[in-house]
Formats: sequence, C-alpha cells, structure tokens
Amino acid sequence: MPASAAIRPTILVTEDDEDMAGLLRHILHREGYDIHVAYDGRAAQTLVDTLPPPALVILDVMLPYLSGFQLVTHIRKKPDWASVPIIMLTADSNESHIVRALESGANDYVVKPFQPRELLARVRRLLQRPS
Amino acid sequence: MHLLSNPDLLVRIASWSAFAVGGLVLAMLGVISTSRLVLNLRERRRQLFLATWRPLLAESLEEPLVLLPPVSKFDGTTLLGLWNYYYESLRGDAHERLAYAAGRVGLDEIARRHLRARSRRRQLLAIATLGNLRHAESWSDLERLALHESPMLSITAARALIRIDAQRAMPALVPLFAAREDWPPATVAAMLSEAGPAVASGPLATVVDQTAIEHLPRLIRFLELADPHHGLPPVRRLLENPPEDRIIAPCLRVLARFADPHDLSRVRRYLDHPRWHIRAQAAAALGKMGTEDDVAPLTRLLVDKEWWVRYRAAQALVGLPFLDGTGLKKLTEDQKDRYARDILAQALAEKEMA
Repeated sequence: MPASAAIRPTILVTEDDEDMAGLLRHILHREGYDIHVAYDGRAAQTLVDTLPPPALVILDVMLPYLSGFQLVTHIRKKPDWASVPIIMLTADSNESHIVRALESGANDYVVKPFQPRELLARVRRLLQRPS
Repeated sequence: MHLLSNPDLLVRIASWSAFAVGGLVLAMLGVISTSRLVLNLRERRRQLFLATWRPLLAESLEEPLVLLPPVSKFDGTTLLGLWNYYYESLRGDAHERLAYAAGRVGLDEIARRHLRARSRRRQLLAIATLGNLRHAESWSDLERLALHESPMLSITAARALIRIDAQRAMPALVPLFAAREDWPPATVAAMLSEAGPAVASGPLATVVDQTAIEHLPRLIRFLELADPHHGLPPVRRLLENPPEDRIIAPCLRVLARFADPHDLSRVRRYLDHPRWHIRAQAAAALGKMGTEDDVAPLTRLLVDKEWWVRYRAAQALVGLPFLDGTGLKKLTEDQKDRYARDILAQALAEKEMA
C-alpha cells in the first residue's frame, strides 16, 4: 500500500550502476517512498553530511571512491544518522563479506541477484510498515 | 596560386605538398567532427531510450504490461543490454515477468537478428538473451557457437544451452569441459553447478573413460562437483591401475572431497610417493578423512624435505577433528625437529586466526 504523498518517507540509495539505481528508484518510489540517489561513495558522503537523516539507507558495497563499508562507518559516526536503518546490497554471498557488512553497522543485507519483493519486505520490516 | 605553377620545380613540389597536407588535415578534421557528432547523437538516442525503457521494465516486474512501444532496429542492442542486466541482477518470479515483457516486445527476434551480427558484443548479447529466454528453437545455432574458437563466445553459448535444457546439453558439453583448456575451470565449475549434480554427474562419469590422457587431469577435477555415486567409481578405477603421476593428484582431491572411509587405504599408499606434490595432496586428503591411525604417518611428513609437504601435513593434523588443542600442543612439543615444530605452530596460528 503506497504511502500518501504528505508522509512519504525518504530513502537514500547509493548505487553506482545507473540501470540498477533506476530499478531501485522505480520499485521504491512505486511503494511510496521518496528517493535520493548517489552514484558514488563521495556523493553519498556529501548527502550524508548535508541532508537530514532519511528513513532508511540502501548501500551497494562496491562503490567508487568510498566503499559501502566505509560509508556505514561514516553514517554511524554522525549522531543524527546513527540510528538510521541500513541495508547493504552485495554481489558477494561470501559469509565473511556479510559478517563484515553487519559488523560495520548495517542492519540487514541483500545478495544480488535479488527478488524485488524480498528487498521491499526487508525495507518494510526495518521501517515497521505493513505490506 | 601562382606558387603552384612556379617555374622552380622545388617551389612547385613544396607548394603542392603544403596544399595536400592542408587538404588532408581538413579532411581528418571533418571525419573526426562527424564521428563525434554521430557518437553524441547515438549516445543521446541511447539515453532517451533507456529513460523510457528502464521504468517500463521495472514496472513490468510488478504487473504484466500488455502494450509496450515498438523497438526500432537502432535500439535493439540497448534493449538487449538492459533486459539482460535486469535478468541477471534479479531472481525468482522477476524472471518470468521479464520473459513475459520480452515476449510482448519480440526480444527473441531481436536476439536472433543480433546472432548474425558481425560485432562480437552484439553476438554475446544475443546468445545470453536466447539462453535466458530458454529459446529452444535456437539450439542448433547455440550448439555450433559452443564450438567457436573464441572462448568468450563459446562459453556464453555453452551457458545458454545449459539454461535451455541442461540434460540435453551435458553429453555434448562435458567433452568440451575436458578439452577446452581456454575455458577457465572456475567458469566450467559454475556451469556444472548451474546444471546441478543430478544432471551433470552421469555424463561426467561416462566421459572419463573416453577422454584422452592429456585432458584427464582437468576433467577429474570436475568430478568433485558430481555426486559420490558417480564421482568416486571412475577415480577408484583410475587409481587401481598404476596411473600416470599427473592423474594421481586430482584423483586424491576427489577422494578427499567425498571422504569415504573405504578410500583411506588408496590415499595412504601415496604418502611415500617420490613426487612431492602427490605426497602433499595425500596429506591434505587425510586431513579431510583421516583417522587416529593417520596421526603417525602425517607426523612423519612434518620433516619432509619439501616445505609444501610439511605444510599440508601440519594443516591436516591441525584439521583432524579428534585432535584437540591439548593434543596438538603436546604433538608440537614432542617434535625434536625444529622445522616440524615451526610448521605445526604456523598451522595452529592460521587455524586460530580463521
């Protein structure tokens, strides 16, 4: 059930691939969220430093300039962003990679290739919204 | 202009040369400008097309879109690229929905046209698309392309055949897995995993007996991905007759993979092999399947003249489930040889760090 325009929560998506960013933007927007997209780690860091905290952050692990892991650390150091839920998108299902994501401060992870519905379910769970 | 008709020959040659060079420079500038213009126009067209089709394909994941805009022949490659990217990035019912959208827009026909293109990139996109669409009508074309000399093209075609019908593809592909040294083993392993052991095991086991000795070491390694019912018998057969040295190490790897206690004596007999890499492989195998009887022979290898044998023996001892920390500490202290103590300490430290 899409949220009404007045109370649309914001999600920050950091994804360097334009096609993937477009897909994430579309499925999240359709679900009722406003989306900010950063296409590299440095742009994401700037948004983190300048924007008010969003409802949730989706981070790709492999990014130009700053990795997803570095961004999680940066986000967790900012007091007003510290409690924002973070989902990591990773192409590596390696256990150590996932452990590292969670230990860096991410709340959840999704391994590519992924099911759009699974991603939405995880977003809803972290935002505690009904489907 | 009268320089060109100057009575002095040298002046005339110099003038004509300058004139020709100037003309050439102008022509090159024209070609470069036109190329840039064409590239810019193409890129603009591509971006416009993507701006329309990204949301359309994303929307088609939610609900089947019956009406999709026609795709001109100039945009076919871009659509193939985008569709395949989404297909490979997503899983589950997203695949069925993307296949439905592909059907509505005639993507199979676009891919069939690209299959005949001269550009290698277009051909690769076409092959991947036909595989993802399970396009059985393209089987013979893909089978022919799996034999192509280009590894990129042949691997993509092999993968497409597996996606269309793994059972049908395996008998033709397994001999290629053995013979095509230009297909990286990790890529072949990924294809075998995609086909699944239920489909791949039988053909793998059957082909071992028909494979030339020079390709056997490569093929045997893939038996690790078979089920034990099919993977073990050919390896045991090969080890029964005194095999060539290059066959032994991969066979030992397969025995270690399945760790069947019936194969312990087969592995143990190679602990004293004259070739060090076979001793090392036998030690590694005992690390996966060894019993308390193997502690003494593995300890003996801790003083082998080859570092790799000592290292594998130490790793094997440290990995044995019935040797706990106290037992390993005592074993280390009991070693009179400094190299044996050092290598055991190293293997223990690595285990603690892991």
